[in-house]
Amino acid sequence: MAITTMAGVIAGLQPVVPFTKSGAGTPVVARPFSLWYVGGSPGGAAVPSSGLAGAALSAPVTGQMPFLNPVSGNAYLARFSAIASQTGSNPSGSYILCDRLWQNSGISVTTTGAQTINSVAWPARDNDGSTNGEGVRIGLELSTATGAGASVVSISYTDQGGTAGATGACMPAYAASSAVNSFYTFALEAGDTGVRSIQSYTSTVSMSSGVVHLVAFRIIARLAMSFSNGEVYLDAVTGGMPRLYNDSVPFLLYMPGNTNGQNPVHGQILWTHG
Amino acid sequence: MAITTLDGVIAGFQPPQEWAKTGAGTQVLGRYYSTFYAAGRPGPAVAPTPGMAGAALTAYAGQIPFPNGAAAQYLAKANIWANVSGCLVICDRLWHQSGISVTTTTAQTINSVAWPARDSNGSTNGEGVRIGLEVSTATGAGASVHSISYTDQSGNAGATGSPRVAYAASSIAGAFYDYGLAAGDTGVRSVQTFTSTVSMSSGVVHLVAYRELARIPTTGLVEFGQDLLGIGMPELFNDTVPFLLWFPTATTAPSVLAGQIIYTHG
Repeated sequence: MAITTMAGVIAGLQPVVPFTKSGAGTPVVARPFSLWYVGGSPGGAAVPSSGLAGAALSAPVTGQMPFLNPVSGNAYLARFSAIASQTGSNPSGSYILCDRLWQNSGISVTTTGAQTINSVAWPARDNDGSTNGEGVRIGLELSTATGAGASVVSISYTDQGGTAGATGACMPAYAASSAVNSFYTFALEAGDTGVRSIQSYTSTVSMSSGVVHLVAFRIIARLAMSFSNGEVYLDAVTGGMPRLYNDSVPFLLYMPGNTNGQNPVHGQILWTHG
Repeated sequence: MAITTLDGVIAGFQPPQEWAKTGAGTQVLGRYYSTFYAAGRPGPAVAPTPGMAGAALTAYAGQIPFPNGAAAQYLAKANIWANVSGCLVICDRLWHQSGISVTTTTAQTINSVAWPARDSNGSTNGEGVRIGLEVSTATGAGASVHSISYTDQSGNAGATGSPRVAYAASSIAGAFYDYGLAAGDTGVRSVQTFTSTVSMSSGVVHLVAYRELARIPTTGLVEFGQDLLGIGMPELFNDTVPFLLWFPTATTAPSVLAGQIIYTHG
């Protein structure tokens, strides 16, 4: 059964899920920053070791925002709030709540040819609750900072319609000596609206050192941090009440609007079931 | 069925549609920039080739995904994060064409095919429909003064539309000149001719018919969003082809544009 009324939203509200993440590093404007490995509550996640083909992720995964499947019916995001003070006078940016579907390991950062990925199937948690990949995005996540080398990175992928051989370019462009937790996303080819699987990863120039991972994810909600030291929130109506499918693995990205050092971010998530 | 209650909005929420575009080029203040051909998610559109009379659009690779509902569809939320200040304009792309000679300095016949029934009232009359000149390949030297001859929303032919922002020689790919309307007109039903008085020397341009759905301003480097009341919950008709225009308030290239759109179905 789906929630179709405000009364249904209220009846299904679940206990508050508070979160706190420590500040870490100096952000680069417009380059997303992953809080997956960052300490706090919940604690930081372990670096994956699932190999190049990766692992489909199902809750519970250490480091994820707590998420329980509904006893019956569906789960939705009912509230998402955060407050994050920053050094400097103009804090800005966005916190982006995502469902982490898949991650891999084993990419060689010094290899300059294509590396075979051949990802295992995503869990059935794309926009439509299927494995097709509608709305699924791919990111390159750094669990250890990289070294010198202005690499141009890309992926070869199969799109949401099952068409193979598409190429995704890194956006924003990869920068040498990227900081830990940097999270580069990949663009799609004309007509594509999601990614079903990844066949290969290519880096044109050695990154010298570091550890990187590919991550498949779906964006659930974007929270605008539009003023200093004040908590902002989305509720069921203003957030569009996106559905989360069973076994979701919620995690946070931060989209920096300046280079001010991050102080801890605190917030709450509420799910509603019905 | 039309949505008339908050419960109806809640019942009809669809999955968020994430988008991200890498805009490029020095902007002209107040001149729209089309992200239709810009890389990102969804991927860039290919320049159309339907010929002078153009094609009515019910889907086009590169559009923001739009699923038809059982009855009615509405825009319920939109967000934008941009690296620079400006305004995101979410539009429905109704029609576009190709084949304009950028060096011809006399009137060129368009005689557009009928729009799809997606004007402000869900008809083909053209109420609220706007016309833009979209540059898919940068133009060359030549300070063209261009205009269109059109039929208005009530069926009166022979009106002339001039670009709201004067054409600039060497316009960048993505430049999008919207046309003003003759006195008393509130939309465009069809386009008869396109005239450029001075050669643009080179480049590729297209006429586009579109309907504005929502505008989301941003100061840059801060995310802004509007919910269903802020947007006014505009109705989107079946087979809508959403695409994004950027209204720059600074000359900096909009190299990072990202956000989310949420629909609700009645």
